[in-house]
Amino acid sequence: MFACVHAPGLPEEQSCALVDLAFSFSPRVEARMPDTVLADITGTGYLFGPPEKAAARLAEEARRIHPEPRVAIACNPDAAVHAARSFPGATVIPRGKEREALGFLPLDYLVPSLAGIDEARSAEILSTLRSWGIYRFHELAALPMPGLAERLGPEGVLLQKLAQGASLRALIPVRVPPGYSASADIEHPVDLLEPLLFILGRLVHQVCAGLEGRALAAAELRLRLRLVDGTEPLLPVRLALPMRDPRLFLKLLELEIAKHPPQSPVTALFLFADPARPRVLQKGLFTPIAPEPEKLELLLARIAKLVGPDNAGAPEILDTHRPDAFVMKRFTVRFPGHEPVRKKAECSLGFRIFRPPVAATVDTLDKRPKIVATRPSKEQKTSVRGRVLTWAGPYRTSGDWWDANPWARDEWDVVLSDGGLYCICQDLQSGSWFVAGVYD
Amino acid sequence: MGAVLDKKSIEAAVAARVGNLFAPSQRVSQQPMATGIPTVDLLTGGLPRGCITEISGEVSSGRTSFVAAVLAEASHSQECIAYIDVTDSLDPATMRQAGVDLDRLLWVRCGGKLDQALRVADLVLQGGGFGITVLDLAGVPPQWVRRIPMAYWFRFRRAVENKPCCCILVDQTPCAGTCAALLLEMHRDETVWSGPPEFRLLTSVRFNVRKKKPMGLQECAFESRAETGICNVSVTRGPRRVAPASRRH
Repeated sequence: MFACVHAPGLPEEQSCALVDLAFSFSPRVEARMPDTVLADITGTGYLFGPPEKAAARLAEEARRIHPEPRVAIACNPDAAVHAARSFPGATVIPRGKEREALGFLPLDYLVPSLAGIDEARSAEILSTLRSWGIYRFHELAALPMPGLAERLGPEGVLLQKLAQGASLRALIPVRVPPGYSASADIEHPVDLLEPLLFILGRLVHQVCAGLEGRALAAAELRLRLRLVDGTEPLLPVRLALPMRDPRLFLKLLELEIAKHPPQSPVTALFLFADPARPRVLQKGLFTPIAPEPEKLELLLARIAKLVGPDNAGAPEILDTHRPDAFVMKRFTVRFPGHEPVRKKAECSLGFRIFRPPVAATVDTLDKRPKIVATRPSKEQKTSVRGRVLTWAGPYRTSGDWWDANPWARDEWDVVLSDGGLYCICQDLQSGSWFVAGVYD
Repeated sequence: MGAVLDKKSIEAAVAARVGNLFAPSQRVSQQPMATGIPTVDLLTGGLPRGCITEISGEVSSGRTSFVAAVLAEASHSQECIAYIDVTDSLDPATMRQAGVDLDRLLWVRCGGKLDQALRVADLVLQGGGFGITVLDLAGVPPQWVRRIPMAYWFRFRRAVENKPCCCILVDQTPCAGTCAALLLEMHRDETVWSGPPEFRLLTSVRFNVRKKKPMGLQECAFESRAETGICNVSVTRGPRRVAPASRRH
């Protein structure tokens, strides 16, 4: 069984929506014309019911794309195409009734390209047939095949098979595209965010509908803007998990545009989505709460907009002895049961780092710090000042002496008269003192 | 009388949508969160979920050690943590040493900008999903903290209400007022050193935790000072960085 959907006058840029619709009914889809798609629905009776119900459902879904779609179901693919392109509404041609169903159609409705006949040759054959007084499908179908072959050649026989609804050919399936895209050209360049988002919203919904039609989600979004000055900046939005929520995508893209505002008005938008299998998760009754991945993406994007992308994330300690060596990586939700539970360490003393270390003036006696006082500055507001009551040190640490950026310092743990327990350091290269942090 | 009738009519009009509008919201009782320090758990019964807990104290009073212990316990329970660091003073190495799973820690560094920190805290609390949200104001001068409008604390309290998450404020002087359900005041009791003066080593620090709120339990705690009123938390010092501790011995 083959189902054909024809949307008369459908613009070529919307033909992908028609293909996506067909893919939501069958994995084998042929799209040789921009306004017509053909799907092999053999064996889908359990899913969509009898052909009449399937045709009605297909027509209902197609109304989202075109106000008056034409749907036909037949056992022959070419018969389904001819019926869909000729009859309004939903048509079902029973097995063996193709010739009767198509018989009264004029020859103008014949689609020779289905048989692989080029336009010039088909026009020549149809002109000959009209000169013979053959105007309708059933008249062509009734001609004797040997005589037709002698006079019109193999192309004439192929056209007769089309008219009979008895052609034999295999479907030429469409390959699943590696990505999903939508684009819009803007007649008047847009320089404000609000109207841009209005247009972008349509593209996002279009891409999400395509993904939904094939039960896929997006792993990454890429928005390309064409500006008046000729540049085309690319704004990627990487998602931690495959998702398919148009509202979330629109908000993420809005934040991305706000983070990298275009330098001149926008004349065109191109949105690409990399497809991926959607996340499948079985939640447990005793699972600790965790942020929903979709909400978390939005939350991280909003936080990144406030504090900067490098200031929010999960810290990762680098494999070095250098003090305060870490990088920020992307924070993602890790689900329990997927990793071993770490054994809890014993309670350890907390430390608060001063970033950057506070430059200090240290008076020493017998090479031991006696008085510590920081130099207040505009950048560093931390004030430490006091007499050293108790000390421990010095403890020398050094590293990277084989590299271009070595470090070496003496560390002291001191209790000052202001009540704080600090870690002060002396840089051995410059000899300067600074307060590294406070134990807390 | 007319005002009472109006109130009733308003309640009746919106009852279908929002329920009893003027009645105080019912608090859902939730299991408190363990702090990871048995003596503090005995004193407080754990940190209440759906509430604001305030940890206040001077410099070196043990606030960060206490928070690290709480976060380690939450990591052990596989909960996600948000740490909003106003002054960018969190040390990931000591947090990992304390047992905090850094992969579960969302660290937001606000670079000293208090307004940004408050907005981020609002976003995180409204979004939900984090077992613990820490707003670290410990490095902010108290006079700045006191200028934060009370509306923020009421908003935060409303955001965590009836949610299974804890909001922890760390500061130098209490600022949340009535919005904090639990207020712990911390002091450094004793610093323990080991070894002769020339090879002295900082070994451990003892902190005192005093529960100042709820008021009803404070008197009980003071009466039983030796046992639960003021509990001595012995915090052992571990290596502060990735380098082995033996390097400094």
